[in-house]
Amino acid sequence: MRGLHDNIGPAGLPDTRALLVVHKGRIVMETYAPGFGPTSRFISWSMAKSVTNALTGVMVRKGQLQLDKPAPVQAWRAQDDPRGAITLRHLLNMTSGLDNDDDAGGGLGFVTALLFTAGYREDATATAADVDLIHPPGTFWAYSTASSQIIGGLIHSANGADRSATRAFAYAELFVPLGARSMQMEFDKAGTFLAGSHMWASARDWARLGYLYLRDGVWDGRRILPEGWVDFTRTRAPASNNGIHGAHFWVSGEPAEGQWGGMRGSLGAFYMSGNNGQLVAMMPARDLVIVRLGEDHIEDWDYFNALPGRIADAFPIAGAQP
Amino acid sequence: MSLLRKTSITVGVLFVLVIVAGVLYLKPQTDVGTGYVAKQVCSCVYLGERDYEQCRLDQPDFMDPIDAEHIPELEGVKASYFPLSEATAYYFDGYGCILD
Repeated sequence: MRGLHDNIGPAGLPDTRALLVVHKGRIVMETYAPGFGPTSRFISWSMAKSVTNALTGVMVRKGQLQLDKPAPVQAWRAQDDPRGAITLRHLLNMTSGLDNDDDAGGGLGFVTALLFTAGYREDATATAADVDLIHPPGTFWAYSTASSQIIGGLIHSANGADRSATRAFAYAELFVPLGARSMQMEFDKAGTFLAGSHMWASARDWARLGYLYLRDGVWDGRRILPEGWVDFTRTRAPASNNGIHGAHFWVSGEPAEGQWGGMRGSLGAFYMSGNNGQLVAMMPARDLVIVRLGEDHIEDWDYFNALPGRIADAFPIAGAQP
Repeated sequence: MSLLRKTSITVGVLFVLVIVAGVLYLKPQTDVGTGYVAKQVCSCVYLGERDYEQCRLDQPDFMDPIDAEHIPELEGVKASYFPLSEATAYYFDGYGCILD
């Protein structure tokens, strides 16, 4: 393990700021760059999508949202609107068929307009949903922060379109039960949380969320996510152009064209992934959660994806021959 | 009209067209850039609880031309790319930094 700290920074990576490993439910390694510590909050970037998966799971468990019914998006309710066929499952799988993937629209892409451009960002959910359908739902995979935002809008609506109620729901049903009290959501001007991009938490609380998924959605004997939810989450989305995306989580395997390098050879592993190398990886066969947080403006994803493999080598699979 | 005058008018019109084309090309990018810097630096200061200067350094190098200013009394960060774009994000306790 010592070699992980050599040279450039913790883990030998540029600007890694937190590295934490949970094995069999205990923290076995926890290290921070100077200026950061156990109480520091780190930005999620796209790992927010995985938090949104968890909040959605809670609502499905409570019967407030349905996975396979048309997503109750107000703007799609006209009888002849083809978007009315899109389900929550499609949105979580990123197979909605909507023309709102992160690169859509040319220029700097749909996602930057959605999050940062006046006229779009004020009501990010309306911007995300007000697009055409360009593929039949469930047939074509495309990475879409806008899909996460539409789900955020559904959670917001289910909480009376009241941001304080949405926030209270998230704390009462997810963050507090996990003890993840550092978790902070960010909201847009219309009052909807930024469900695909902006949440903040300490490294330990990111690990707690990962551990919930490692334990099949059960925390300390209490079921947080419905039965079968984690299996759904870590099952490859059924679209022919998808390699390694599950349901707002990534899974180990061979990436399809246009997908970032995945965790090859890590059987059964699944993970949250965010811009600039944010990573929370769950490895059930080794009973591991690995958290890596930092700020790296480079695009060498193979380099980052080698990290969990290097750490996992120190924790043999139970029952396997050395 | 003299040739010199015609040439001057042509050059002037071309100059204006180049400026307009440049603004049309740059404006969407500077809008995103100012929004990005205001939002990210504000969130870093108030949710990440780090110094403004450190937060500014976290932004990608290509955001360096964007000016930014921390406004502690309003709990906000203003970013600008004069004269094209300007954005301000304000911190709201419990709800993060919201772009105005």
